[in-house]
This record gives sequence, C-alpha cells and structure tokens, in this order.
Amino acid sequence: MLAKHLDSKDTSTTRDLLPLNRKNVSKYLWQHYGRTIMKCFWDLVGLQQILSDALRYPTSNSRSTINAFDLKQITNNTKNRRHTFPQKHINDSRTNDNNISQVSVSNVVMLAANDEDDDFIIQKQRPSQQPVKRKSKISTITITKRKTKYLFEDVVPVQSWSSYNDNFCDPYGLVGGATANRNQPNWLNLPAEIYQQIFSYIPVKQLLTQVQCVCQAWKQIVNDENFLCWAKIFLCYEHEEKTALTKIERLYSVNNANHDNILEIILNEGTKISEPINEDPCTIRFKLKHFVLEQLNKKLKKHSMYDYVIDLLSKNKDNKYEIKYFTSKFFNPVCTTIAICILAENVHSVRQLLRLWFCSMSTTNMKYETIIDLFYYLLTLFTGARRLYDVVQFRYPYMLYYCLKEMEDSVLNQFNSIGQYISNMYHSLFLFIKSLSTLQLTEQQETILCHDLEYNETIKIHAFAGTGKTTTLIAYAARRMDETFLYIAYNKAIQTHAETIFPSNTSNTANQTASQLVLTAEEKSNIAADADTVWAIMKDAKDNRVLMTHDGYLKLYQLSKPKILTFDCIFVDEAQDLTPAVIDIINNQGVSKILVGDRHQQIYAFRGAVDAMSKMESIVTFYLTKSFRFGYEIAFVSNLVLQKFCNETKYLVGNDRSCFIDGRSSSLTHGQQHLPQQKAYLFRTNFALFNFAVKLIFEMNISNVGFVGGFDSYAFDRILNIYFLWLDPEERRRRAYRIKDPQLVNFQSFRSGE
Amino acid sequence: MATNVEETYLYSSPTTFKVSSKDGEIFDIDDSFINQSKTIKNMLNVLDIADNHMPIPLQNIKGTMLNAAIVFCKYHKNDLLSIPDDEDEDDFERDAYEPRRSDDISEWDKEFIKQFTVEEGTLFDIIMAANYLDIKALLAVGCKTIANMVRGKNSDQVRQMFNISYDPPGEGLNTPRNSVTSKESGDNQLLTTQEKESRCKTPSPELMYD
Repeated sequence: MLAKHLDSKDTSTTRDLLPLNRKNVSKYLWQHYGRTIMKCFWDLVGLQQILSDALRYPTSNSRSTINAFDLKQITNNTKNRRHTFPQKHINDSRTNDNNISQVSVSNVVMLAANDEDDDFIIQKQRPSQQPVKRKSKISTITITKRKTKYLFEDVVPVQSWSSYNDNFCDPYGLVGGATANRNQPNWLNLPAEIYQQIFSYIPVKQLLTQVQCVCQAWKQIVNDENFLCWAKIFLCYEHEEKTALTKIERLYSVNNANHDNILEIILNEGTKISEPINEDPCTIRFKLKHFVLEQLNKKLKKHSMYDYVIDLLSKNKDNKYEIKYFTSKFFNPVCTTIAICILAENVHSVRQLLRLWFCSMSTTNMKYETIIDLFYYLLTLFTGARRLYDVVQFRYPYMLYYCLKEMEDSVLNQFNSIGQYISNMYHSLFLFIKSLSTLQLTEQQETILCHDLEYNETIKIHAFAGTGKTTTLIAYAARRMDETFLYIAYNKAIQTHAETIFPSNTSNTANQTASQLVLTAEEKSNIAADADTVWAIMKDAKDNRVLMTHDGYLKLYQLSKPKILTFDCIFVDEAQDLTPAVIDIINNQGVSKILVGDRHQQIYAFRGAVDAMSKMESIVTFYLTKSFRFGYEIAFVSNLVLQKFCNETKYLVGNDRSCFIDGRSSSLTHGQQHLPQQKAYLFRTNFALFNFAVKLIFEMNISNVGFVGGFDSYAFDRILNIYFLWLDPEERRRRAYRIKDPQLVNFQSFRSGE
Repeated sequence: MATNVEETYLYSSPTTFKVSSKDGEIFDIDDSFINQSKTIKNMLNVLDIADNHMPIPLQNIKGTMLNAAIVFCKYHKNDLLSIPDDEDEDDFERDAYEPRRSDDISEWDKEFIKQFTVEEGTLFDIIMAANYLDIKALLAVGCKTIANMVRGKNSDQVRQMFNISYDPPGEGLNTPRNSVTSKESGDNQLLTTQEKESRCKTPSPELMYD
C-alpha cells in the first residue's frame, strides 16, 4: 500500500493526510518519535554509505540521498529546538552534510521546493494511520509490552526508497507484496549437506534454541540423529538430562566398569568404533576408512606426546589398539587421541591434538562436523566417567572441554568481520553503536541476546567472574533500542561506569540516585508513622543527628510501594548482593527483569545481602562461563575450588593466554621483558590495602592515586574525626583538632563510648 | 603421505580448457581450477576431452559465479601443495598461542567473500556453485560466512534475513518461541524429537512473498 502511494508520486494525497498545524505537529513528533527519527536517520546514513561504497547502486543512491537530506534537516531543526540533544550526533550529521552536498541531485532541490514545510517530509511519507497506531502502542505500554522487532519497521523513508528501486530486494519483506523478491533465491533449496556444514560451525546450544525454530526444514536438519549427535548428548548431559545420564551410566555398567579399569574402558570404546562389527548408531559415523585412519596416524605422529602414548598403548598384549590392514600396521588414531587426552600434562597438548585433527581435514576429506562430534563423544565419555567414578581426574574432561570451546569460538570469530559487514546492511543498530560492533560476543552471550523477554518474565544469568555480565546487558539494551531499560547496580562505582557505557535507552540507578527519588517520596508517605524515634529522626532529611543509611532509605522506598512503569525491562547487576528490601522492590514491579550475578562473588553478606539469584523465580536460566580475565591455569584451579566447596557443576573456562598460579608474573616470564602492564593486588581487608598502597607510594614514587567511586565516598574526614575522638581529650585540645562530623560531635571520648 | 597427495593431485595437464556458463560466457580454466574442483577433474577424466577448443558446458552456474570461482582457485592454487610441508616445521610453542588449522581463513578470503550478498542471492549462488564444482575451500568459506550470519540472531531475525516463511499452521512448529522458553524444555524436546524421529514428511515451506 505504501509502495503504491509512493509510486504514484502523488504528493498532494499524502499531504492531505497530514495534520495542518506545523508547529504542534513538530513538537508532538519530536517528543514521541524523536528517538525513532534519529535512529532512522542513522540507518539511512549508514545504508547510504554502504550502498554507495559497496554496492554502487547509482539509482538508489540518489533516492537515499534525498531521504538523508530530509532527515538531516529534521535533525538540524530539532537540534535548535532541543538543547539536550547529544553533541556527538550533531557533529556526525555535519560530516554527513558534506557527503550529501557532494552528490547534488536535482531531485533534492525539487522536492524541497515543492514542500513549503520541508522539515517534515518524513512525516509526509508516513501513511496517515501510522502515527495513530504508534500512539496507541504507547498508551498501552503498561499493559502489553511493545514488540517492535526491527528498528525501522514503522519508519517509512527506508521502505519508500527501497520500493523505488526495482533491483533492490527488501531484505525484511517490509514493503509487502508489492516487491516480491525476484532475485532472492529460496534459501531452503540449499542441499541438506550444505546446511549441515553451515550448522556445524554454529554452537549446539544456539542450534537448539534459535536455529531449529526458523522453520521445519531447518529443524529437521538440526535434529537429524546423525548430525552432531554427541554434541547434543553432551549438552543434555551438562544440564543433567535424565536420558543422557542413564545412557552414559548404562554404557559403563555394560562394560563392568569399576574404579580400576575405567580409563581402559574408555580406550576400549575407542577401539570399538573401528571394529568391523560396530553397529552402534551413535558411533558408526566415526568408523573411518583405513585410508583416513592411516592419514590420521601420520598426522598424530607429529604430536609431542605421540611417543609416550605409543609406549603406553604397546603395553597391551593383545595388540588391541593396533589396526592391521593388509601389510600396514599402525595404532588406532582414536585410541591414540584418547591416550593423549589422558596423558596430557597441560592444555597445550590437547590444543595441539585438536589442531592436528583439523589439519588432517584437507588430506582425509573428513567433515568438520565429524571431528567436532568425535571430540564431543570423547568429552562425554570422560565427563561421565568423572561423574560416576571419583578416581577419574577432573582435568581429562576439563582440558577437552576447554579446547573445544576455544575452538568453537575461534572458528567463527575469524569470520566476525564479514558476518558483521554483511549483516550491517540489515541491522543498522550496529552502526548506531559502533563500539559494540567490534565486540566479539561468546556463544553464551549471544544466546542471551537472542532471548526476547515476555511480558513480566524474569530471567536469571549466572555469570562467573569476568565473563562479561555488564557487557551482555549493554549489548542486550543496544539490540533493543526501541525499548527502555532501567539498570540497577548496587554500588556507586559500577553505576558511574555504567552511565558512560550504556546506550541511551538505559537509565541507571543506584543507591545514590535512588535517594533522590526516595526522599521526595518520603515526604508524602505517612507509612512509618509508628516507627520509633530513631527511625523518625533518620527519616527526617533535615535532621542530621542520625544520618540516613543507604539501607534506611531503601527500606523507606520499599515501604512506599513504588511502581516503575516507564521501563520495559529492569536489569539488575550483581544480583547476589541485593538486600531483601531491594529484592522486594524489584519483585513488585510488573515488568520483565533480567538478573545478573554470581553467587560465588557475594561480598555484601555483612549487610544482610541475600542471593537474589536463588530467591527469585525465573523460567529461564542462562550461564556465562567463559571468562576473559584469566587463562587455563587459573581457570582450572578455580574450577576445582568451586566444585569442591561450592558444588558448582558447570565448567568455567578462561581465555587462551597463559598465566601462572605459582607467583610468577606472566608478563615477566613471557619474552623476558618487563612491560608496563597493569597489575592488580588483591587484599582481604582495607587495612592491608591501605598499608600496601602507602608502601607502594613511597617506594615507587607514585604521585597519583585514584579511588574507585570517588574520594568522598570513602569518608576519610570521618575516619580522621574518629581518630581525633580516639585521642586523649587533652591532646586534642592542645593540637586544636576539632570534631566536625555531626554524628561524632556528641561523643565525649572514644573509650567511654558516650 | 606424499604419495597420496601426489596421487590425488597428479592430474596436471599444461593445456587449458574452456568452460561455458549457464548464460553462455566462456572461460579458460587452468590447472589451478581443475585441481581444486573435483567435479571438473572427474569430468575431464571420464570424458577424456582431446579437443580443448570445445567448451565444457556447466549449465548450473552463472558466468559471474564461475568467474569468481576461477579467481578463488587461482589464488588458492598452492594451498594443497604447501600444506604437507609447512606442518613439519611447526614449532610447538608458537602453535600453542596461535592455533592455526587448515580450515583457517585468510584475509584474502574475507575480502573475497564480501562481494557476495544475501539479498541479491549471490552468496547463495556462490555456495551452490562451489557445491556443484566441489571446491571444498570455497564451500567452507561460504558456509562459515552464513554460519556467522545466522549465529547470534534469534529465529525471527534469521527468517527475515533469508526470507524464510513461518511454517504453515497446524504443522506443529508454527509457534517457534514456545519451544525455546527454557533450555531445559528445549533439551527435552530434542530428546523426544530424536526418539520419535522417523523421517516425518517435511511440509515444504514456501517463500513468503511469492
């Protein structure tokens, strides 16, 4: 319909549909759609640039220029009107101004001349019912959540421009039936093998959550019994799915496994694969041809552990691990692989092992998927063995898991730039937040980002240290620029940091900002009328005899039963450190919530913090287990600690850099040169920290010292006052020290406590 | 190993051949292309074309795609030969920090694949061409590109990117989001579908706007 409108080029009809009062309209528009307009503008600028640079569409160029031009005028106008407009955007629009003026198209002049109120061409191109529809959406915001899936779904110029150009295919199908995609092939015509190859590069979790829901055909490809079978079983096993658990248990019980022979049984499983009688549907795919096995064996010979492994395998008297094929005789590469996993001293050996397998792809013609799945098979075997038999060391499954995850990440990360280059043509929001587009998210983060919240739904994200919790939230907000988010953090430092990095659709609140809200709310409320006197004094903001504590006004805030209605979703960062009062506040909000936290990192237990992660109910729980902060060695030790003391069953993995746990610094040993790197010292108490800081200041001649959260929040004045109080009153008088702190001024001496 | 590699890639003839695309364009192909495209190599082996002035018709491939494939093969002509050599010299320490595999993608490949797009269908065409010609490296590059585009998007976004319609109602999966609500339930579903899986007929989804 829209396309029809525009194709007819009948400006008079569209103009008739508009409200007449230009001033009112403009004000109304900017208030309600300001953000959408801006977004649309950036979309256009981005699209135009991409198109002119890459696609070299001469016709579309002129058209998009017009729209960008119109929009630019809008922004310029609105800029004058609204002083709060971010400076950055204005600057950007100027640079684009230059671009546009270079492409002087006669159409621009014509259009601008045609319309007397040229600042709202964008509105003219809107079909009449559009604003009404939009308005109704806003008014019902509290009842049903807005679900605008794509940024410019309801913004017209982009569509109009694409519908002008016959060659251009509307990627969203937004234009509707008018421009059926003549050029776009039916992607479902791709053969299933190719789809399997494509899908084998995608992490299984995502295949099962998002990809299989795309359509029936894809679902069938993903769920094909032979496709990544063990990767799927392992995922079930990780989530302690009953079927998977019993499957592995049965496998070991059939073989009469016990504490002594468990590793041997795993090796035997390896030999069973290549036996001619193997009919097991789950492993028959790993039954490789002799040629392939031979090639693999040759490859594996390059492994640094190969000689040890052969030594071990040749101890077997029945030569079980050897493969005889006419004249040639060699050790079964699958057994060799298992043995390397068992004997590997460090993660490098396993990395090398995986690499050798993948190197063999070019000579053996094995599929990527087969290799991945074979390693998942081994991983499942080891994990099962570890679970059932204590003697199996944790490092066997862990090293394999670590390397597999590392590899899955790297395979796709090398292609990130292209993926983004291509998707940028569709997902202009990545243009909008440039910094985000360079972020490489892990698959777990991506799974979270893909999850659209239902109304009033709560999701929990269990995130280990350094796994990018806050980054995930930022990316989540950035993906959904049309929704508004409230970010609740629990201390000042996080909040100030968050203010600088979160996209504009997110408001931040922490104790400090909440206090503004609370104190105004407090005046109106009479709820705490029967509270005791201290409470009353505390409440009174003017009386500074007893100061309000943070928890105090939060309690007040809770009692005022606040409702936060203006946001679509609440982010709660560090949810493990919430007090019951805050949990209650959050629980009473009728909006969707995302809780992020790590129960192993609770640091505010002393002030009554309870782990909101376990208190609040949610349907979906996600995990972030890939830490960017440390390498294998630290991750390994922390896993052991978490498993032993905290009953953690998830594996925490780190990055691919090396690190040391024996006191050496990785920067010192690596390359033997001292790099000016950041160093972190950890302390259990403030006392030790300050002592050490003072020592460092004197020894290293450090002149600048920073305090996280600001100097004021440390209340050094008060500490000084307490020191004065602690001094003998005589001494105090002699040195002319005066206690200024309102809470301390009434005390006579430190010792008597009066 | 060397013998096998030689066996596989022994076919080398100094002469060039001509191929013609679907739209009638004629290209000269040389060893680099023949060695990497198994289809062509088998064809030449079977047909034993002596007269190299007669173009071999490749009816499934557009001229632009064939051209791209030839460019790709020219760039990668030394890949297969060099792999056995450089592996031997590998130094263990370096590898540990920079995992490098035969399926790694070079910068050149990244630039190469950027010329193809989804909405024009050229990415689709190049994958189909690579599949038809059986050029493994090119197919892998194409597949990884697609995989990277699919990854990190939810099913709605993927559907719209590739212009895939929702399944017809009544076929079971017409409400995709329900099956995702929790990963636990997702896993359950996986198992049940796996158990039940008996090659049920696929309702062939059609294009949204045909």
